[in-house]
This record gives sequence, C-alpha cells and structure tokens, in this order.
Amino acid sequence: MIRNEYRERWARWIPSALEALAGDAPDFPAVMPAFPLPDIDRTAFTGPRSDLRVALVSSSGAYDMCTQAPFASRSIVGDASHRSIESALPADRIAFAHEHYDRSAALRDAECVLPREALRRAGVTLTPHIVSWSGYLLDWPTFLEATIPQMLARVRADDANAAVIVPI
Amino acid sequence: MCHKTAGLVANIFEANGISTIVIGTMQSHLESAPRALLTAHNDAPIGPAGDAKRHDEVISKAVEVLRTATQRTLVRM
Repeated sequence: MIRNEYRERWARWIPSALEALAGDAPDFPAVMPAFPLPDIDRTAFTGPRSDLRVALVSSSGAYDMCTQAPFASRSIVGDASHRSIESALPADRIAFAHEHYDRSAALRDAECVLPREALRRAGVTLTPHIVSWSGYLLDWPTFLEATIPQMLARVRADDANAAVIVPI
Repeated sequence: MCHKTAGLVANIFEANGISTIVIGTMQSHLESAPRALLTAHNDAPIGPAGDAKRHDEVISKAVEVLRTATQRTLVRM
C-alpha cells in the first residue's frame, strides 16, 4: 500500500465541508477557499493544429436519457463519474443532470452547451463521442484518479487531437 | 467548481498531447486553462438558444485559436 498525499489532504477537508454544505442554505464561502487543489502540471501546451479532429467535452451533465442513468446531481458531494454519448445522438434524447445552472436554454437548444452543428459548420471533424461530466463535484481525488483517465482514454480511442471543453 | 474542473481536465489533456480550448463565462477560473475563450452568455457559453449566428461566431473563434495559438492564451468575445 502506498500513501496518497492529495487524497489525504482532501480527506482532512471534507468533514468540515459536509457540515457547512448540509443545510438548506449551503455555506460555500465558508469552505471553498480551503478546497485542496492537486499538484498537476499547469504549464503544458501543445502546438497549433491545422487538421483538427475535435472531441466535444462538457461539464453540463449531459447524458442519454434512454440508455444511461443521470448524474447524482443533487448529492452534496456531486458526482465524479462521466458519460460518453454518441455525437450523432438526437437532441431530444439528451438530458442534463446538473443542479447548479439554469438548464432551460440547454434544453431548448443543446447547441448552447454542446455545439455539434456549429463545429461541423466550422469545417472540423467531430469525433464519434461526446464526453460529459456534471460540473459540481467535490470528490476531486476520484475525478483525478479514475474519471479523467477514462475520459482521456475515450478521446484517444476516438483519435481526437483536440478537445473543445464547455464548462457550465 | 464547474470551470475549475474544466481547467483541470484541460491541463491534463494538454499534458497528454490533446490540444484544448475551454469556452466559458468565468474569467478567474479560465485563466488556468491552456487556451480559453471567455463569453458573456451565462448558462449558455456558446450563445443564446436558437442563435446559430452567435454559435458560429464563438466556435469559429475557438477553432481559429486551436489552429493558430502558439502559447497559453485567453481570448474575450
């Protein structure tokens, strides 16, 4: 067994966060300034791309309402999982599980957060899958250790060389 | 939190050879992204529902940045 320094820091923070966020009026300002951030490379930069194969990636909580479970968006700690949905999925099969933004515009026109048609009109190749997560999540250790590597694997399997990321 | 997680994803993708651009509305959280496009459309970062012309403007700029940026950058629209 090896120790996980980031998970240990997060585990020390989460009890006070749960206490502050559990009420009817969650006190985010009381705990979020102390949210532990992971030590990752924040300097990496790939060069310009001329032949773009773009993966669409979004924190909108998008999921296929016919074949997938919604994110646990009402959970106090959020939901650290992700969904992969077909880029060609009809818009009326896409729902959004995310309690922290007004989803009315996205439900009227998914292009507001998932710009599939706009990307095609811009002349880039869109990869076969959209990758999404529900942006309110406190379990960053799981997101970092499991979810992001899975999302990256999906994007790589689709042979993407770029990603348009749309946070909400 | 949503923009923070997007910055995390973008930096890790970038470190693994995937070029990224984050299109969002919160400047303070976009500053950590390798490439970022700041828009003014809360809850609809690409533009208002039904406004395909605005969607095209935003995405054209995003594609342009992916094709041309040679260093970390934040563009406002």
